[in-house]
Amino acid sequence: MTSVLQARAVWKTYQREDAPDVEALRGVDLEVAAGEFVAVTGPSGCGKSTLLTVLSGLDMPTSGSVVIAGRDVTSSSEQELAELRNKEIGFVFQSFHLVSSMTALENVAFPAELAGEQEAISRAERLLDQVGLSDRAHSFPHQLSGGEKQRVALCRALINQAKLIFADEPTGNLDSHNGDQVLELLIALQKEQGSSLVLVSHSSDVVARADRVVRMKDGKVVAD
Amino acid sequence: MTGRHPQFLWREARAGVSQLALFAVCVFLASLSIAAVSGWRHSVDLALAEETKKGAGGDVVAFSTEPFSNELLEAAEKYPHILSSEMFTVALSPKSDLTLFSKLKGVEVGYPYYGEVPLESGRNIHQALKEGLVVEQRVLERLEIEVGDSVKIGSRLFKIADMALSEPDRPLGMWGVSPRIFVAFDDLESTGLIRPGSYLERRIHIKLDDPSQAGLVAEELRQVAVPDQERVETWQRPPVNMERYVENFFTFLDMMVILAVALGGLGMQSTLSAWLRSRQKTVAVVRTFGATSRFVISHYSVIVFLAALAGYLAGLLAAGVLLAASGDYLSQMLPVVVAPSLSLYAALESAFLCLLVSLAFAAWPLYQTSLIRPAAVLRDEESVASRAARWKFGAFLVSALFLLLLFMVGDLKKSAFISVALLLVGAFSGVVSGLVVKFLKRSRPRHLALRTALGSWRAPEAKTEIVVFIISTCLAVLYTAVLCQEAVKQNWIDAMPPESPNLFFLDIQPHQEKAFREKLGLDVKLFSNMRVRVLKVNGEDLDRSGKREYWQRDGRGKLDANPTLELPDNDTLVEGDTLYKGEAPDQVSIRRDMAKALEVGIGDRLTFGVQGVPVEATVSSVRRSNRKGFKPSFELLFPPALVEGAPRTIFGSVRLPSEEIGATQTRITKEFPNVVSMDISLTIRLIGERLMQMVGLVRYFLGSGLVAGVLILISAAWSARRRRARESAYYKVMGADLGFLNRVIWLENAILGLTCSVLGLGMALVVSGLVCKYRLDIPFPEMGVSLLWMLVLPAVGVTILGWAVGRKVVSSRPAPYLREG
Ligand SMILES: Nc1ncnc2c1ncn2[C@@H]1O[C@H](COP(=O)(O)OP(=O)(O)OP(=O)(O)O)[C@@H](O)[C@H]1O
Ligand SMILES: [Mg+2]
Repeated sequence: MTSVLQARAVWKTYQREDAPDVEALRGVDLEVAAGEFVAVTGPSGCGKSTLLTVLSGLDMPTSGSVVIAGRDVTSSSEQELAELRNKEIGFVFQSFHLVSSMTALENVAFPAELAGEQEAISRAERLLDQVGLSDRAHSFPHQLSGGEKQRVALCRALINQAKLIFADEPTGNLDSHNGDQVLELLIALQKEQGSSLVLVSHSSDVVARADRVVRMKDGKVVAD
Repeated sequence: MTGRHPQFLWREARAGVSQLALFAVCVFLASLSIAAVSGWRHSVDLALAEETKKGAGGDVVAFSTEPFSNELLEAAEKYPHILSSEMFTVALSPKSDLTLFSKLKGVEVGYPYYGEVPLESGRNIHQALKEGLVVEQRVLERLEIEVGDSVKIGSRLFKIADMALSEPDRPLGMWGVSPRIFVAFDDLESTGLIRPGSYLERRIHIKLDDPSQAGLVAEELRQVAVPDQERVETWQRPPVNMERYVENFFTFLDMMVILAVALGGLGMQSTLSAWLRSRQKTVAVVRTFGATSRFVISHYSVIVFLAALAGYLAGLLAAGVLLAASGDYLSQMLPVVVAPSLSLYAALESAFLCLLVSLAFAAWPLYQTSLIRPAAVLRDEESVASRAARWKFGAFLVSALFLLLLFMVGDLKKSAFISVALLLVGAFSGVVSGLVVKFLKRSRPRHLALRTALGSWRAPEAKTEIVVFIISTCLAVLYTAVLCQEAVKQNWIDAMPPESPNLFFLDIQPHQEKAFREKLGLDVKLFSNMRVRVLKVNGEDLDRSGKREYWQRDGRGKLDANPTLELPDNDTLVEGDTLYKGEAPDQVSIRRDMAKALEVGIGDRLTFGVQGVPVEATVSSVRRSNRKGFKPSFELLFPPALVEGAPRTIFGSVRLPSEEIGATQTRITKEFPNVVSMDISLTIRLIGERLMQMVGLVRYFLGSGLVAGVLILISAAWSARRRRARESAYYKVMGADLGFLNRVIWLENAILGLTCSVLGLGMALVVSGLVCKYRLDIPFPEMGVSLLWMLVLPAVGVTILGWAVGRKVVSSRPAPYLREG
C-alpha cells in the first residue's frame, strides 16, 4: 500500500511571551496509507489539533519532516504549500470556518475555482445535493444550522478530490443526531473518493469505525 | 451594579483606544469647522457693528444717481445735513505723465458725521480741502508724486494738499480697488465732469439730535422722494449691500460647514459603532453577570463624552490657530477689515453646537449597545433595532443638524431652504451611491479574485455604503466647485481672445463721439448706453415690492439699453427670427434672463422710463448673450429711432498691447478729461483671485469631509481586521496563496476608490453641467486631461490607503485563527 503522508520525528514547540515554552509535539512518527481512515484520540491538550496543523502544512514543525503526496512540506515554498492544500488536502474543523460573505455554494465551489476548474459550480451543486443541501445552496453561513454548516464544510473539503482529508473534531459542535449524520456522510464520501482521512475525535463510536486508531498523550503517540 | 466603576471605564477605553481616537478625530474636524467659522463670523459681526456707526455717514442717508429733486432737498433742509458725491475718474499727473483710475469724492464741510478722516499733517480734512485735494497714499505712489504736486481731474488742475490715512466710509464697491481722492464739494462742478448721463452717486447725509427718530425721518423723506430714483435709508444697520454680501458669504460657509459636519458626524457614528461592536462580547458578558443596560450605557457614555471633549478642545485650539494664522487671507474675502480671532462667545457657541452634533451622532450606536442581548452575541447573532427606533433616531439626527444650521444661519426660512437643498444633495448622492454599491455587492463576476473582493464588501463591518457615500459626496461637491470655477475662468477670465477688448472708455459725451474716434486713431468700438427702467408690462405697473439681493438683476432695477439695428457679436436670437419686425420704431429686443424675470415674451408691450419720460415698445425678439471676453451685453436693444435725442452716454472699447495701455490712457485723459478709461486686466485678475479663494474655502471644508470618509475607511478596515485575518486563514486552508489574497485586497480597494471617484465625478459633471447651462449661461469648460486626474487620484489614494491598512492581515499565519471557535 502506498502512503500519502509520512511524518518523521515531528517536534512542535510554541514559544510564548512571559511563559515557559510549550512542547505540544514531542517526536511524533506517523504514516497514513492511501484510502485509510485514521482516528486520532487522546486527552484534551495532548497535541491533536497541533498535529493536524503541522501534518497539513498550515504550521511548520519545529523539527522533523512531513511529506505529503511525495512532497516535503518543511522545504516547500508558500506557493507550493498553497497548491498542495488546494489540490491534495481537504479540511473540516470543529467550528466550520466558512467564509461568512459567501453563500454555501460559493464556499464549496471556491477551492475548485481557485484551481481553475471550469465546472466548479456544477460540481459544488452536485456535492451539496449529495449531502442534502441543494435547497440551501444560496444561503449564507449565518442562515444555516450547525449541522448544515458542517455539511457545507464537508463538501468544500472534498470538491477537489483531495487525497488527504483532515478533520478536527468535526462533530464536536453538533448534537449526536447531526454529528452522526455528518460522520456518515464524511466516511461515505471519503470511501467514494478513495481519500485518506485523518480524524480527531473523543467519541468512541467514531473511533470504533476507524481503520486505525492513534492514541496520543503529552505530545507523543502512545498507541497505534 | 451601580455607581461608576473607574476601572471598568479605563479598561474599556483602553481596549478600543484606536477606534476611540478616530472618533475623537472626527469630533475634532467638526469642532474645527464650527469654531473657525463661528469665530470668523463673530469677529466680522463685531467689526460690522463698529463700522456701521462710521460707515453710516449720517443717521439717514438719501441716494440718487440723478440730481436730487427739489422736494427731497427741501425736506432734508429741516435737519442738519451735508451733501457728498462720488464718481469714477482718471487723475493725471502732469509731472510724471501717469494716470490713475480713481474714485473721486466731493464732500461738504461737516463730513464725516461719524468717524473721521485723519490726515498725515494732523489737520482737519476741510482745512486741507480749501487748498486742494486730499488723497490716499496709493494715489501718490501710483502717480509717483508727493503732497504739494498737482494733478489734473477733469479739466481742472488741483494741488495735492494732504494725504488721508483712513476713511470711515470706505467705498463698498466690492473691495474698493480704486484709490480715493477727496475734493471739496463745491469744487466738483469746476472739474467739468458732471454732465447729463455721467455716473455720479449723490448722497444727502442727515444727522439727527435723536438718532432713534431716524426711521420716522426716513419715512418722511421717502414720501417726497422720486420713486425708483431716490433711495432713502436709515443707517441703524450696516450698509445693505455690505450686510447682504457678508450674510450671503456666511450662508455659503454655513452650508459647507453643515455638509462637512454631517459627513464628519457619519464618521463619528461609524467609528463609535466600530468601537462598541468590538466591545460587544464584553457587554454581553457583563450583562450576563447582572449589569443593567443602564450601567453599560452610562459607562460607555462617559467614555464617549470624554473622547468628544478631547476632540472638541483640540479642534477649538486648532481653530484659534487657524484664524490667527490665516487672518489676512480670510479678510481679503470680505469688504470688512477685520483680523479674525476666536472669541469666548464663539468658543462657547461652538462648544454647544459641537456637543449637540456629537450627541446626535453618538446616540444611535449607544442605543444599539443597549439593545445587546447577551445570548445573541454569544451566538454571534446581530442585534437589530426596530424600524420605529431607526426612524426616531434618524429624525433626532436631522433635527439636531437643522438646529445647528438654524443656530448658525439665524433665519428659519433660509435654514429650511438650505436643509432642503442639502437633503436633496445628500439624498441624491445617497441613492446613487447606495444603488451602485448594492449592485456591485450583488454582482457575481466570473473572475474569482474580483468576486471575492466584492464579497468582502458584504461583511457587516465593511461600511462600504457609508464610505462610498461620504467620499463620493465630498468629491462631487468639490469637483462641482472646481468645474464651475474652471468654466467661469475659461469663459470670462482666460477667454480674452486677441480681438476682445482690454481697455474701456466710459462717459464719452455724445458730442465728443466724432472727435474721440479721430483722436484715439484706433479701431474703437463705441456703444451708446442708456439706463432705463421697466415701468409697466402690458399696461400694468411692475411690482417692485419685496427684498432684492443687490446682485440679482430681476428686471426691476435699471437696465442697460443700447439703441442699435444690429444684433451684437456675442448675441444669438432664441425667440423671433429677426431682431425687429419691420420698420416700426416702437420695438424692443430683450435678453433672455430679463425676459424670464419679467415673464414677458414676443408681443408683450413694455413701458420704459427713459430719463423720466415714458416710452412704449413691443417685444420683438429674445436674445441670449454669451459673456465671452468681457464684451458688453445689453439687456435691451431699441431701434435708434425710438429713443432719438434721449440722453445717453457712450462707451468704447479697444484691444491694445498691454504696454500701450498706460500711454493711451494718459493721452485720452488729457484730451477728454471727462472720459474715464479703465484697464480691465486688473479687474479680471481680481475676479480670478476671488474665485480661487472661494474654491479654496470649498476645498477646505470638503477636504475635512473627505478626511472623515478616509477615517471611516480606516476604522472599518481596523474593525474588520480580525475577521479578515480569519477569512484569510480560511482561504489559505482552501489553497489560496499570498498572491491571490493580495490581489483580492488590491481589487477590493481599487473598486472602492474607483466607485467613489466615478460617482463623485459623475455627479459633479451632471450638476456643474446644469449650473453652467442654466445658471451661468456659459459653455462647459474644457478640462482635458485633468478630468482623468480627478478620476484617478482619489481612486489611487483609496486603493493605497486600503491596501496599507489591510495588507498585514493577509500575511499572518493561518493556524491561530483556525483554533478559535
Ligand atoms: N498558539 C499556541 N501558543 C501556545 N501554546 C499553544 C498554542 N496552541 C496550542 N498550544 C498548547 O499546545 C498544547 C496542545 O494543544 P492542542 O490544541 O493541540 O491540544 P488538543 O489535543 O487539540 O486539545 P483539545 O482536545 O482540547 O482540542 C496545549 O497545551 C496548548 O495549550
Ligand atoms: Mg483540539
